[in-house]
Amino acid sequence: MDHSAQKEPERIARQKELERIARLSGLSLSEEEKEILFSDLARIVPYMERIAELDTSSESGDTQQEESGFLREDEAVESGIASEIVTHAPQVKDGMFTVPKIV
Amino acid sequence: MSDAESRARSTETRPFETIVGLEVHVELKTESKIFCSCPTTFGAPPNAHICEVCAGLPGALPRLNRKVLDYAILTSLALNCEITRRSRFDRKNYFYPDLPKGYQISQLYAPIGRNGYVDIEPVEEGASSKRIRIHELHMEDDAGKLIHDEAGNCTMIDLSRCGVPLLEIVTEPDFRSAEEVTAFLQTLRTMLKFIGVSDCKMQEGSLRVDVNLSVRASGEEKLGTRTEMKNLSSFRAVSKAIGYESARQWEIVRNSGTIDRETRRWDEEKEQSFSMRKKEDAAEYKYFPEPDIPTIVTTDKKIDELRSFLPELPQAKRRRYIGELGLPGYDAGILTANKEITELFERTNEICGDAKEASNWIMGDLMKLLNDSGTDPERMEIREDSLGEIIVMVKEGKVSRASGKELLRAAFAEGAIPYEYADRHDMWLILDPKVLEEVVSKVLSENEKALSEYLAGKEKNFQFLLGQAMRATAGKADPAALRAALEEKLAEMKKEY
Amino acid sequence: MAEDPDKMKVEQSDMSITEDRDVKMSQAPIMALSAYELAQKIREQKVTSEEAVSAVLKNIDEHECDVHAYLSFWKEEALAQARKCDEMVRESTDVSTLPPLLGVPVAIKDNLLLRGKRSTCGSKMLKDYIPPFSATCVEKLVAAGAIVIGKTNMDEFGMGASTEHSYFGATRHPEDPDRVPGGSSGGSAAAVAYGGASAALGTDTGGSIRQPAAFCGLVGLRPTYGSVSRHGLVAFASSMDTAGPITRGSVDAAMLFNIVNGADPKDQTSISAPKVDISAMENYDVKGKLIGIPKQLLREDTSYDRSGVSSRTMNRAREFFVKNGAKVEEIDMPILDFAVAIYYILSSAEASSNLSRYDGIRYGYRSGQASDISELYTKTRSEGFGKEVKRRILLGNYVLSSEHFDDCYRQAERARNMVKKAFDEAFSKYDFLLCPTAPGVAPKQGEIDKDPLAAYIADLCTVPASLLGTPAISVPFGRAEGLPVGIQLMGPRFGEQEILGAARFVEKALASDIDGDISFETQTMNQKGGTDS
Repeated sequence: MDHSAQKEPERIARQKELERIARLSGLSLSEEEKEILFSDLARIVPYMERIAELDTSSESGDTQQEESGFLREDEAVESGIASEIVTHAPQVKDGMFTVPKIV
Repeated sequence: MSDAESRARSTETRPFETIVGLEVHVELKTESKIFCSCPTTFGAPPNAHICEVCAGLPGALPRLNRKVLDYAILTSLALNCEITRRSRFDRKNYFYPDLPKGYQISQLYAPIGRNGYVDIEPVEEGASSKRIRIHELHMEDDAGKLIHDEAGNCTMIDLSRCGVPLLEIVTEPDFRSAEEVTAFLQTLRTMLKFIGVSDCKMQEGSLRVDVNLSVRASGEEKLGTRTEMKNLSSFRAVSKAIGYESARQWEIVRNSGTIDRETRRWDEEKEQSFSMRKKEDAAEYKYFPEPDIPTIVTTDKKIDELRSFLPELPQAKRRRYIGELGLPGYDAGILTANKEITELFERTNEICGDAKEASNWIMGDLMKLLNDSGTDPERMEIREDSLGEIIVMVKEGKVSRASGKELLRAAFAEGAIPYEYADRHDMWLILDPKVLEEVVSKVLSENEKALSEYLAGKEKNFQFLLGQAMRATAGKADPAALRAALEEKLAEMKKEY
Repeated sequence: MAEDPDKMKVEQSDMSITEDRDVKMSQAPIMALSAYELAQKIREQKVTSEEAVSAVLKNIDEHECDVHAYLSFWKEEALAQARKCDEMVRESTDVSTLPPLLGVPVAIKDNLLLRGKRSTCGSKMLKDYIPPFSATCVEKLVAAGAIVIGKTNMDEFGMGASTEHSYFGATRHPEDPDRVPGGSSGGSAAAVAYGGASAALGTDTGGSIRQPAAFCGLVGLRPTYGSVSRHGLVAFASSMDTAGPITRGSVDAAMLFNIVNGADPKDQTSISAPKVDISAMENYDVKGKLIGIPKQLLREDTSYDRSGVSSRTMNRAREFFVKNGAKVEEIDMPILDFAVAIYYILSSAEASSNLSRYDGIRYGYRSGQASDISELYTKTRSEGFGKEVKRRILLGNYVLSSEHFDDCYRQAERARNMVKKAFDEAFSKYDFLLCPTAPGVAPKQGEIDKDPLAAYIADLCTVPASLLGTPAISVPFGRAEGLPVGIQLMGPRFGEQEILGAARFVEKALASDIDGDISFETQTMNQKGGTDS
């Protein structure tokens, strides 16, 4: 897709969509970052979307391999690293991880 | 009860219909978590039971617990579901502090069980049973717990519950009333406890219900917009929430308003639902197949094997109680509505060999004890052998019926062992013919006048002598045995007379 | 261009190389030995582990400031371990019972966890992260007697093809500091190449073992997916991530593979592959073999290989195999025109999910600027991740979002099955497949970052094996423009024996004909190939 040839409404729609994708991604991008990343994506995405051309109607989407008989038996074992995990956390209170108050 | 609610209830022929579907989350009773070996113990100190897997550390991978899969298949079978032969897990992606990996491992595209049903018993007397279709059953991991610290202005996270195995059972929108929903939940709960896959302790959150509800005018075919109420953790809350929400929705629809597609929170104290978030800005979950867990292939052989582990379920029991044991349908219903009651009944019947008698004691005395004390049957302290033993004692005349009732009370209230209690409280009836003969001889010798009159033909003195004999045993003799002993002695004396 | 004797050059390992051979290396001769030979000599007490570790540390002292292959290493601890190993050897009554890699210094990529040792994955997000457990493959390596010297630099979370996308600065090519060593396992490759370790473990999602191995003149084996446990490998794209060896020769690669291979209860997707018979590798002959070259993988890459190094390499490779009695045919596999798109859709989708756990709550970087929970996520992640990682996360979220899921993700999943079918058919006919590893030679620093899409497309030759989960090996095939060039051999699932045998055959033939008609040059080239992860 030719970036420069995009019509203005289309460009705005695309921009809006990428803003939404950034939110879904859990990222807050600076204007500068947006400019770079969004223009990269404007070239990368159409390249990826070419696969829509493929006729895949005869294929199943199941690409996972089958169970190799490796299920775990139901036995409880203390990990022994619980307190190690907690003490290494960036912020801890009363043995718990903390985040800014959720209202 | 709110005004809207009372209005909704007061109309006998309702102008609208309530349509409900459920998502029921059941915590499974396993030793270890679904994807790691951490214990599932309830009530541990914060973050005591966490490891690299359930705390979502870099480089950790899920390791599916075999028992969770087996329990899921067992439950699917009990709910008459088709078992998906190639089942998979999927990731449900969203950010929330109780979700350490940033995704929940659930099943969207190929859940383990599909297209099942449960028949619920009629809500009203005389109605026929109703079939509730099960859309699907899938496995997933539970999230952690958030504790809001008012003073510290922060939210604290306990991940011990992360990874506790859950089954989610999704019904079709087949319910038309809160009563039907309650009946279904009760049936489901009993069934799950019978299979042994869950304790279903609602107070510990091991059974949680999401209610999807919409209303439509009676006769209307098109479904209305539904709302979802999440995480209801008692039958009462479910029932109240349905009543409130359907009235709320109908109030809006009746006034030509529109219902928002939204998630609502049920406030148990205020008994009202509140809007949480609109569906438009709801999280997008970006589901895709979980690449860390292979496809689960379930064979016929595996299914047959698991089916053979399936215990007799309440509905089958009910049929058997009516057909084989000759109990009335109503009694059979009550005896199978609860796992603890059913187990007590079956054990009692086994010991006393008299289903009718066992049923009578449970339906009468035991139920009264439960009701009077407000005890949940799952918390009964009575030994499972006690009632059977009591019935045998009464039937054999070792104790009186009144003592039997007292024994049951003690067994129920204190977990007393009937034989010991009868000893301690001197409840035994005298049955020994030798002892009775001595009593009779003594009484006759002390009542010479009455005796000689009797021997002379004053038959009615028999009652007086029997009464004296009974008094002499302080009421401890088995009346029939005492009468027999007296009759025998008198007959002997008459011969000699 | 003949070899430049001033440039540091690293020999391919070869079993025929002896200690007294005149090696034109700047490092101690001890490091000219392959890991296999070194282990043998340590057992035979001809070399001590302490000497080997000292030699490695000396090389690190000498080259690390230029190359920056390591993110961390531990000198004293390594030396102490070495002395312990030497003691074990001295006290052993039967040296054949000693672990196979006893006393051999190795490096591991920073995304392979070693309990108690900082594991950053090249990211600010994990700049101080100390893992409470070790990767299974690292534990196996340690159990085999190897001494882990340190952890090597990488593109952040494995995303990149140059080891420039590291928060801790780029790794440079050991032979030319203006160039990249490849990536994302560039640190592992560079360390082995300059003698900073006898061998290394890297990880390969879309080519991250094979491409840096090719650029640094080493053997890089991506084993069958699942044959090496992913437990303790910090996830990039779970359905493709594979750990594997980067070594001086194919015998070392086989030996390391045998050590790390094996099903692991901690990774339910893992499965044991057959062990490679190393002596059988020595007898391997390409004579009579049928070799396929996927035509679509011969596409000229005008961004990175303007001088056509790849096509000349492939012509020579084809000649080489034919001359040695193999039959070589081109195969038409049109689906491969979509391989890069399929790979980037699926790997980015998985990556976006795998990287969701970095939220600043339980470990790692946490933004100090967050005033509410939403900001804690977005600021932590925006400050903690680098540009390339953000690009992939955005792409992954794009292809998974509901509007694009069916056309992108679902379609890619089905297309992946089409790639599998095409290769199943090819593998039923051909003994192995042959193609370039990467377009051209190691590119200049900064080159790859200019055009991210071009960099993605440069992964064309390595991504098919990633999508398939099949083994592939890059083996050095002479030099061009003064830099090493590799060719890639691909086998079917569990086909390690075949491709390692073929790689060994190539290696031996080249050693006996060193730089003869294999090495070639061009006159004026200044830029070359690059690839991904």
